[in-house]
Amino acid sequence: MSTVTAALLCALAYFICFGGNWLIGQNMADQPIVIGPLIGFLLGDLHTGLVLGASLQALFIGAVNVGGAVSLNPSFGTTLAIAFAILSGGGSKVALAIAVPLGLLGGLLEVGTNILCAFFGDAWDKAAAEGNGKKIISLHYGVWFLKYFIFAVVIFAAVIAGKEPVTLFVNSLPDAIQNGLAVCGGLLPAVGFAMLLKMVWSNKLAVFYLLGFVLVAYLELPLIAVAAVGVVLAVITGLYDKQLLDISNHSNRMTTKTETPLSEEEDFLS
Amino acid sequence: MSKEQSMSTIDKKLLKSLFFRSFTVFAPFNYAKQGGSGFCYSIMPFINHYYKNDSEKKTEALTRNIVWYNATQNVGTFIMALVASMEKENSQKEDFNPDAINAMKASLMGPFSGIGDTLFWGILRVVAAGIAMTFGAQGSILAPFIFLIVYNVPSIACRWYLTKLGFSVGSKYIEEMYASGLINVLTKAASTLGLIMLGGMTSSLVTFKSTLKFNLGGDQQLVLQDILDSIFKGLVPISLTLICFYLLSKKKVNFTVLIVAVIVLGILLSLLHIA
Repeated sequence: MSTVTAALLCALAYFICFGGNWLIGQNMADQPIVIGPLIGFLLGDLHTGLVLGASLQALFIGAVNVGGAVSLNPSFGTTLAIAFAILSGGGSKVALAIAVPLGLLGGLLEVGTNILCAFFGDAWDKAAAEGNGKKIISLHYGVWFLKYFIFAVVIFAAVIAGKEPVTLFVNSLPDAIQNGLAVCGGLLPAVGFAMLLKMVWSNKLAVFYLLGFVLVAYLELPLIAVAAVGVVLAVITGLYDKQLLDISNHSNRMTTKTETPLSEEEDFLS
Repeated sequence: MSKEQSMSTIDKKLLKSLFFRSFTVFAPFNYAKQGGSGFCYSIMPFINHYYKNDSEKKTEALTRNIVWYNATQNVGTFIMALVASMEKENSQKEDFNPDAINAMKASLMGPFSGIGDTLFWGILRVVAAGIAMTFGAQGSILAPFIFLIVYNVPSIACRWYLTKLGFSVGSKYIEEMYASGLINVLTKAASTLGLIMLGGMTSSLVTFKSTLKFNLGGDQQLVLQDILDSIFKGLVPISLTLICFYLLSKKKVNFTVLIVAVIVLGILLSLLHIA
């Protein structure tokens, strides 16, 4: 496969997964575990795509772009890292070394396109003031296309321009640095999980985090079993809390309704 | 009566259209409108239908709804449908104050995103990824499909359920859910699941193995990793994660800065022959 064909396929896959994610309800098609296998399949090495997609998913798990704050673009890093890994024959060593730096670059690009597309804000306001619903819609889809087309072009150019230098760069790295990058691959998910902990943490529930950790570290349960244990505990505690809530709400109602004993009796009977 | 019946079939049709359009809400995401154009596009079927004889009011409605908007999209349909029901009311009642629409919208975006991001980004996506990654690591083609199904089925179901709910019950229902404390119960149960899953994933995905050894003379060796393991299995991964969490939440350290710091740390550990 020529580099140009490979670059075209990567750009197309990226457009479908990343653009499609935002066109169709944030369906998470831009997550590494989805885009990785697709890139692998298109470049003729599905197995590498699957395995690297899974490891990069761990690396990027905490890249949560909540409320428009962008720092990392996981799909950008994943697409290029896996493409270079397969095209250069360097495998996971290459992918893990460059995925996060590329993800950061992708994040910058995303900020850039968000600013660029903001210039259409006035056009939308004008269309609304004219009562022109059709124009609002065509801008809605037009700006979508423009934004993700820019991304696809950048991916295309990056695959063509980057293949040789990336291979050279990775091969020229001293062993200690290469080993260091492998160490980073193991440590970086910590930042991601920290980011996610920030969303769900509460001091009262922190013991459940420890429980999940111990289930895997000492009992060596697979993650699907951990998820099942989690569901069971969530349902148990949820039902218990619901019961407490009903009791307290009920007693509140009782105290407010002391002046109307009739309705209280009805409550009791029903 | 028959008129009322036909009204509701039309509303159903419009609501379906709102539901499908809502999938594109953030398609042209940008810093000026975020989801503003998508919001306007989603409720446009209602605007077109209920203001079709009054172009001035229709223009007002479009202008009102093209403003900046952001709420997690699979729960944001509640806000969309609620606004749609208010626009309908505005078109039918002379004394309705349309300013209430954007005030309502603005007041709901924050709380809905807070819960939506936590449930869908922080928990559901992580659970789905955790399950699928086991398959992916073994090279199973099922991985991406499992991930997409586990994430999207609840996500789409929630989107549709809240579309219907927002249109029929109005904002009072949500206020009551907050007031009764039911929201807290749900969030707590979901957080329990999320924390267990995050704990498990920290253990299986954050990895560190020290290669440091000291020769104590003779055939005695001191292996750092063995000592760490005997204190607590996975001591370094859990400590590092909690330190990062502390820095992110308490010290407000930037995510990107932290990523760069960990990369530097990894390379340093390697250069010092610790790992």
